[in-house]
Amino acid sequence: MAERHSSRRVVVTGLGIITAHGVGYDANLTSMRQGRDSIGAINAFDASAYRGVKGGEATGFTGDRTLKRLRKKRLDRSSLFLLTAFDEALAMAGLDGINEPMYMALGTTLGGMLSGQRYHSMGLAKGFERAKASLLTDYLAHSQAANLMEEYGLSGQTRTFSDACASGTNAIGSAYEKIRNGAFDVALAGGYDTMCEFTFAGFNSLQAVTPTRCRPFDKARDGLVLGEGAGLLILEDAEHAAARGAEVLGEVIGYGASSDAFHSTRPDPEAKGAVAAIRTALASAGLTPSDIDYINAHGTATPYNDLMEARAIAEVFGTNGRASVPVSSIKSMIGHLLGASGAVEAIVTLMALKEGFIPPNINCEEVDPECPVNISTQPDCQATLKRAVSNSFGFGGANAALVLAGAGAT
Amino acid sequence: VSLVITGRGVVSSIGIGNEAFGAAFVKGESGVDNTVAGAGFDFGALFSDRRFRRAAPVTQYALVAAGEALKEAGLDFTSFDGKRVGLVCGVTHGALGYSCEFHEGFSLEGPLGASPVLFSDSVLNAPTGALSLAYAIKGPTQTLIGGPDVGMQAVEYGAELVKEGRVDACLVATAEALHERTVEAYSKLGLGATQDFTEGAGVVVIEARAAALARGAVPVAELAAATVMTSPSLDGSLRGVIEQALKQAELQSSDITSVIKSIDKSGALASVLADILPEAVALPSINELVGEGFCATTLMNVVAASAFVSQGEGLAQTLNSGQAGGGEGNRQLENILLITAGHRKEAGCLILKRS
Repeated sequence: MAERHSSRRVVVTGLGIITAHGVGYDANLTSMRQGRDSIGAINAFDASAYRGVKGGEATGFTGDRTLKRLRKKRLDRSSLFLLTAFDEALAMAGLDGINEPMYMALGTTLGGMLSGQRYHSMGLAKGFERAKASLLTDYLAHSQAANLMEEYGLSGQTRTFSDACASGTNAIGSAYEKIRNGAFDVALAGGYDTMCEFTFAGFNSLQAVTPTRCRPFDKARDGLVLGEGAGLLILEDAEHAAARGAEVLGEVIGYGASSDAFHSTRPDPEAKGAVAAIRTALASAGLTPSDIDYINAHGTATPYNDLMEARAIAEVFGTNGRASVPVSSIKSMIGHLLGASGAVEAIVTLMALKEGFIPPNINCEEVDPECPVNISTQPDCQATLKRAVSNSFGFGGANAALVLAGAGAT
Repeated sequence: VSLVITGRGVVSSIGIGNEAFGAAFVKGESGVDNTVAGAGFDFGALFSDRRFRRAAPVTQYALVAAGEALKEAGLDFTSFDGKRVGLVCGVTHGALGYSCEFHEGFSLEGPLGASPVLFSDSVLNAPTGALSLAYAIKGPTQTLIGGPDVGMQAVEYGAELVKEGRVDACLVATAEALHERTVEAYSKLGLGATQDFTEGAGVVVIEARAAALARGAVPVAELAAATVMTSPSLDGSLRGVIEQALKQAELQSSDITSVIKSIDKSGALASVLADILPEAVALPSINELVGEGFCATTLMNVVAASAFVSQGEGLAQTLNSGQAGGGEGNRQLENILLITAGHRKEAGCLILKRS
């Protein structure tokens, strides 16, 4: 265990990503650069009777893999997402395992809800005495973290965050803090969630799902599209990474969290909580708003969220509207990944910093005049970015923001 | 930074509120065949804010317990700076009843059967959102998910937020609502019998000692250590959390006078404690009186332990009659170690000292 240091640098050395764009860094990089729309008809269940019928499913994910220690367990799709994303993150970090005590923080809203839902459906149809108990072993939202620990023989501290849409961002933020304060040298952080009728029915019942297209910040936006996937980051103390000769992919340099204390599902229209989270993140990074080159917005495409977020961005980054820092929401391409969204969006932001591009906010034909921000609607593959902010805002008024930097930008 | 507990709240099947809970605990009253409703929990009578009247039971338990904890801490939510207060909730099953009802609705009736109220209250962070809203908590608010150890995780996280100066005070809350699916599922998996389960909430307020004293608060116990760990073996996790906790508290194993442990079906906990802390007296655990309440009973044990260290001799004599008497009983309640073991090799440990 490392000694306490208050200002250690936290670098990213491994990434694993699964989205509707595909499985892995390269597949996602290509599609994010192109601005591909990966939203399609839902295969996981019959969605035809709902207000919204489309989703961002990870159709390229098969889950085929060999298990070492978990052979006897019946794994939920969520666990398979995690294991697969961790394989990629390890490989990218040049590791074949993590043999020292580590911190693991994962965000999810559903955990193994697919299994839980199957169990409950079976119980409703046949009687609960006949529902398969094996479906329950990977249902609870902390089971997937335990599976990952067990499969890889990991040890250390784990936290499973369920802060709705801010879960993944809070997981990464907490890992950043654990390494920065010297509690650990290595951390695994991220989030995951699966396409599940439970959530789909829930967001539809709230009239939050679009019957058309996901159009963040568009004047005619009318709701979100749900997606699925996972994003995992391996974070290390910079000296620890340097000592083993690891390639630095980027850096986490700031984190802030706050709560609206306004409403159980709606965001505070005055955006006070969102502003507080972004400002706290900037302060922890020791930066001013003018140091930021790009903002990866939460941008759900619901009327409430985008208006609130645009106000927050304008308040923090200035009111010169469309001439200011570029903003985009990748949910327009892959949907809202709930507990995975903050992690996947942080990864895509790091990708943008590393590869020099701004992922486009597609489907936005006419920016809402009530949203005074500079929305990047077209792919920009010539961008020079050093530092970026990634926002997440969730049910229950949970707000979180990360400040990320490219390798060598600090 | 020395941390202290300044407020406690509890909703349990042996009593609603610290006073009733403590009295029943000392008498050794059983709550195994009871629910919190049976113990007198009436949300409408206990909580006047009507915005939460349709909230899930798990949220209502947390709201009532948190109100008591904030009151004891002297944190009046109409006057404190909510941005400097944090909130960490530990949740195991959340609003499982609402989840089942919501699922049944759309499964049997289609999209029109999906209730938006049930859905928004079934999300795992619904209790956290409600606490933040009810008590104007605007600092970092986090929901952690896990088994009994998540109560320890939540305390550890709350302590971290205060210690690092990110908040001045942190409310740590856990709650669990009993539901037939929980009982049935754990029984099917061989992890418990029907009569073993309970419900309720436990809440504590953590502050830095200096800040608490400066505002006139009265610490009820010192939170000397909070550690959590998962390793490839439960034995390794348990030894690891105890070792780290002793180091954090700057204590030797011989300084630990008493232990409160979670349910220990495998016997692993008893074995490790006999090895590392052979002299420590085992205090009664709330689990022995009410059963397994997962995250909630873990914090109920913290509430009980804080009463032991703050009330000292009188309580010690009652609890330790037959084991130790008078001053010796008092000494036994100076440094209490609380420990949990999870079935996925997770362990958590806290040390409370007399403040």
